[in-house]
Amino acid sequence: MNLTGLAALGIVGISVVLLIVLSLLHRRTPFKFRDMPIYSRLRRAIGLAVEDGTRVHFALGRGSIVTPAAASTLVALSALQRVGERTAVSDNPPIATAGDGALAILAQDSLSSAYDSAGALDLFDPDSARAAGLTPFSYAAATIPILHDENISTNVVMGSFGMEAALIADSAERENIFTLAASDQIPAQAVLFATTPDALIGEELYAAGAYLQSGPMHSASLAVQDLLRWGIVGVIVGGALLKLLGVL
Amino acid sequence: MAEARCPVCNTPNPENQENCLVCGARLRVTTEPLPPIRAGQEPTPKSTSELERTLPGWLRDLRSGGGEQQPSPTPVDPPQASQPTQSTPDDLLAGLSGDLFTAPSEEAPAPDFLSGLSGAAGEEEEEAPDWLKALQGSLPADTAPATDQPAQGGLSDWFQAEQEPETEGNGFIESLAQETPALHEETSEEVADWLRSLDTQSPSALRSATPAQEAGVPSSQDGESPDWLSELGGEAIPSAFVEPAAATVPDEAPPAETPDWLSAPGAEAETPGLEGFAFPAEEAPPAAPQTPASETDLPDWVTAQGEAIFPASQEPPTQPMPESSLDGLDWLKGMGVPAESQPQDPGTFDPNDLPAWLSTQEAPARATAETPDWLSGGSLEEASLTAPPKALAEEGVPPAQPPPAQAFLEDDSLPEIASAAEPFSMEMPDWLSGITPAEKPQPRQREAEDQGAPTLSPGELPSWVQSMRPVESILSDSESAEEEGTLEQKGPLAGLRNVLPLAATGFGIRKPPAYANKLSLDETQQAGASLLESIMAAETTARPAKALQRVTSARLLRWLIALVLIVAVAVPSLLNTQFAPSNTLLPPETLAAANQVGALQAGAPVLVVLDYEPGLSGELEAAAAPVIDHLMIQGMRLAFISTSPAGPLLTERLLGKFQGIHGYQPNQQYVNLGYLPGGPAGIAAFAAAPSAVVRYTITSAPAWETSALAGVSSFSDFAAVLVVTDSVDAGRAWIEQSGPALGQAPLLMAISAQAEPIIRPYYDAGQVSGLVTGLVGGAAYEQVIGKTGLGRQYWDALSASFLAAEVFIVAGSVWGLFAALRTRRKKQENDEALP
Amino acid sequence: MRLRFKGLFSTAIAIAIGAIILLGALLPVGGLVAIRAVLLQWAVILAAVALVVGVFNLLRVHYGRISAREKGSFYSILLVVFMLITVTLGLFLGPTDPTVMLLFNAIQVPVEASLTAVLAVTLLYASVRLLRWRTDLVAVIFIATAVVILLGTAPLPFLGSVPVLGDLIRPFVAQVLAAGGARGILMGVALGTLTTGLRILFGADRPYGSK
Repeated sequence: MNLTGLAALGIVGISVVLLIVLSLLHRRTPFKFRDMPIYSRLRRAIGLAVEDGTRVHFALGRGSIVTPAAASTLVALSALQRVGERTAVSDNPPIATAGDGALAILAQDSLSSAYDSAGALDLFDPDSARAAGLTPFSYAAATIPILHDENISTNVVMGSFGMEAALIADSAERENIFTLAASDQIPAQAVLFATTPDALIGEELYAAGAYLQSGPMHSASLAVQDLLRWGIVGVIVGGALLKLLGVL
Repeated sequence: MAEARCPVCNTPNPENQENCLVCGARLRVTTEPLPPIRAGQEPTPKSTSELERTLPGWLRDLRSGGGEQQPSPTPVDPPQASQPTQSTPDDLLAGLSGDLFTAPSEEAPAPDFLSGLSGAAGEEEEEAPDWLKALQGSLPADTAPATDQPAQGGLSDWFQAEQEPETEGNGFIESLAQETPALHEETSEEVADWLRSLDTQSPSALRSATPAQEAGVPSSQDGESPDWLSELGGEAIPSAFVEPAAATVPDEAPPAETPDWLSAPGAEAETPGLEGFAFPAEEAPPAAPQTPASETDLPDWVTAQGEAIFPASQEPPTQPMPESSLDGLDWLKGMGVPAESQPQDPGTFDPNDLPAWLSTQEAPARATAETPDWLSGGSLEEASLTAPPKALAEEGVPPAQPPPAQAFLEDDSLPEIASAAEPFSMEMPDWLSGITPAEKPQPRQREAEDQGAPTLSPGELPSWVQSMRPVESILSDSESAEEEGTLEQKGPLAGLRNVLPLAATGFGIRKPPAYANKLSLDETQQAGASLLESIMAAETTARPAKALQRVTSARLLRWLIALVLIVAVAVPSLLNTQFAPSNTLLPPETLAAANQVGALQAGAPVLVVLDYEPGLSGELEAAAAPVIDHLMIQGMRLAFISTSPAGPLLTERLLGKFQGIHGYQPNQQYVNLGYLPGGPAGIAAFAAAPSAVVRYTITSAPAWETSALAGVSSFSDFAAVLVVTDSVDAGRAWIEQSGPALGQAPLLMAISAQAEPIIRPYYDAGQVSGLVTGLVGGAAYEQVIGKTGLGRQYWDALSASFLAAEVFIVAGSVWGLFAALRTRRKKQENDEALP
Repeated sequence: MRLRFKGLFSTAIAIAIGAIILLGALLPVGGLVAIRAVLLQWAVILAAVALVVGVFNLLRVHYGRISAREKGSFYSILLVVFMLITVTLGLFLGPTDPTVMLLFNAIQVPVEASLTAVLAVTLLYASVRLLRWRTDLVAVIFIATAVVILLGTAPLPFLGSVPVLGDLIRPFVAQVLAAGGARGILMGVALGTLTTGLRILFGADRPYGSK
């Protein structure tokens, strides 16, 4: 095992310990995170959608479960489940679109779980989670009509997107639909920054679970990310200083 | 010439005329004031079947109207005849709980008197008397009848047996009477409980219970109300409902007594599940105009009430009940007994024996016994029967009044009326007691006529009428007025004397006085009220919803941008212009890539990965084409693979551009390995064992047996790897997953400009040997290898479109900043202008 | 009960597979590496199957829209018809047949390229409007960076490259500032990926159909 492997194993081990400890701590004393108005607006938009009988659209992107984009995709699925729990019993249940076949199946499972949690499993329609297109632009092209035709008032673009996310966000803006956009890809974040006021930049996507009250483990994982980030910052700054001092 | 005006049609008639020449109504009164009923006096049960014939024509029409005609809250004449009552408990039960039993009993058909019970919601307007119409118009829909229970008589005994075990008897009633205050506060749900208890018993069970009652259950002569009536009573019935009835009986009715026929349906009207009582719209009265006396012993108004309980789909049975079936109905039997045979001892009545709830009602009844305001409201004055019953008039029987319960059930004005004389709740008007059928007079009546006595003997009043008359001690003031009572001239009371006592005093019928409802407020209260008013107005005033801060689409701007960009791209491409100078400084990463390719051994196998989407083929082909061209120039054997589903076709498309130049043949100089699924996992697996992951070419040829892949068994056997991708993830996956397996072979990349910030550090770190970035890199690569390709072809278009974009962005940003500043300034000015 | 059993089973499988892959990557023990390789090959197959599943899901959704005569079902008919035509041609003629390539080059590539062009218009429009609704420093820096990169990337007509911008500022912005920022973001993404993976391993996140 090389040094990189050991370091990786150490980071994973530390993360596991922190995750367990912090999740236990969170049950006793819930953590307080910085305010992210975007998630507050998302909750409000979801509530309004339920009240006025409109629909929530959840774009999961085209991140396959076997790619590095799986992490952002899983975060999106978790958020989808949370949103589904809140909107399952509304007049217009949520719609989830995916750009990958396996992701579409997972989206169906997530929505099914959400309906089950809401006690409305009978209302679940498997077609509410669908594969819209299997290439980025075909996915965007298939999603845009949904925004126009399906009485959407809240659009969540979360997952692994490329620049095609800008097309979805722009179409939602034209339809006067609230859009929360988040992608793990930097080009997508750049274009989303320009096209929608509610874009998540960087790793803010991974905080969705904690801000949507998905459970103590999500809050703990966000706290673990912050701790590890500070550790990395310390290592980088220390390494630079040691380099400057000629130690390394 | 003196004339007598018809009280019904107001037609002048000769003075000596007894009946109206036009409508046939009797012009003179044939009844006399009834003697007052003393407190404690027991009512005399009477048979009222003979009155069937005295009904007004329109009433009889209603009753015989068949299924499609709706019964109405029609006035029903009070019973007068002394025909023995022959109704059965089953009949009664069928009438009262018709909607509790889903199927009417055929064994116990309802007598005819029940045939009129079917409610009157659908009554045609023209058939209802005007005064009734006037009342209907003002009655609250949810008005329920009697508040209190009758202290005497009524049809309660039999029901008492149904409610209570025989062994309980009076003891239970007494306990019930002690609990009466609480019962008064019970809700209608408790009434429903009683009804539910009925529901749980089958009709046969109820019938079987009847004889037991005869033996074990005392009559109601002791003044105690039946338990079921106690349950039905109480506050579920608004007192307002009963006011008119009280006002119409200014004399002899016992205070706070509620006729059982009123209280029962009244309670049911409040009872869930018995909504049909309130004149079910689809109910049809059974057609039984001519019924045997045995079937019509109960007065029709009882029939009407009872049948109103029937659901719309159920009609009461019409088969007459055998006489034997009346064994347990002492109260019904009692109605057939002559009045004098009934124990009537006013002196035996002791107010202290009254149940608590009755005692509480007594005092207010005394207090407001006089003014029947509902009469002065003009309802009766203006009322007239549109079709005076001729036969009735001939018999000297005035047109019948509706039972107050039914009438007021549809009268919205009831609360207003009732507010004037509330304590007289549920008392029967005396005009009902004074009605006397002249035709077929009973022996007692004939005897009285022979002696010059009034046509209708007071003693022959039916018990239910007597029970409704106010106690004399309470209404003594009104008696004096009645002695001078005058004859009613018109309306349904025409021909009756002393019916409306106030009219006799000369006051006449007038509208109720208008009481001022204006509050007198001081300034502080007015200020508070106005403040509250303004607050309420502000709350209810619709404010324009704040629009969400959204970027409004400027369609014109969008189209303008599109038009300018199209022109900027199309014109240079079509005109093949050369106005944009080439870069003089070549990117070092591009130079490194060209050098790496140039350093490859000729004919070596090179893996080319095409991982981009068709939408970005314009940029990526411009970037990759010169590198591939360079590889072909070098004579490299090329193996193409893609982690994108569209990659294999993009490979064919790209190779098609060089097909005529380098003559590369599939499976000879190049091989298309097709689609590699699995992303990084697939890349890792392919890097570990290429032949295990991909076995065939896109043309289904054995990939590793082709000449293009000759000598290649592992990933490191490739002389170089060129990754063409627009995806950061795909580029990173190839770098991270295949890099270690590649060994010393160079990893070259042709990437989209968007991936540069992520991929560039890999080049800086040495993990990538050469990098061609976008169209600019492709053009630079062309410059390096000295060829003209897509890069140069697109160069002018790129330059022009970039310039257009820069202009748009700068201009738009400046305008946006200016607009934002202006908006902010305007907002500040508005804020300053505000106090 | 059935759902719960399914959830437990799925959770156990997911945790076990994840642990094996993770340990196989970090601990190159022979048995673990072999198992990891097999599992990766399964993942490749599953990913390919998922593509087919996606196609069928797409077909099912649009068939449902056609059956229900929903709004826009005409386009669903077009999609289904041309999907079947393309699949049929690809199966019988092969993907490299000129007819199939004609469909690809004449339909799919132009359509997606047009969408890219629309994206270019959209992004330019968004950049033009950005300062109208976001007038903070970040937005100003965003616009300034975009202009600098544009000016430094392509030469001006008849003028050529802008001095300093093309050879100094643009490379500095793109290769230092942007790359540094991207690295930072990627680290954050990596941490997020790590914790997300751990949540999957702990069974806290179960996107495979259980509560």
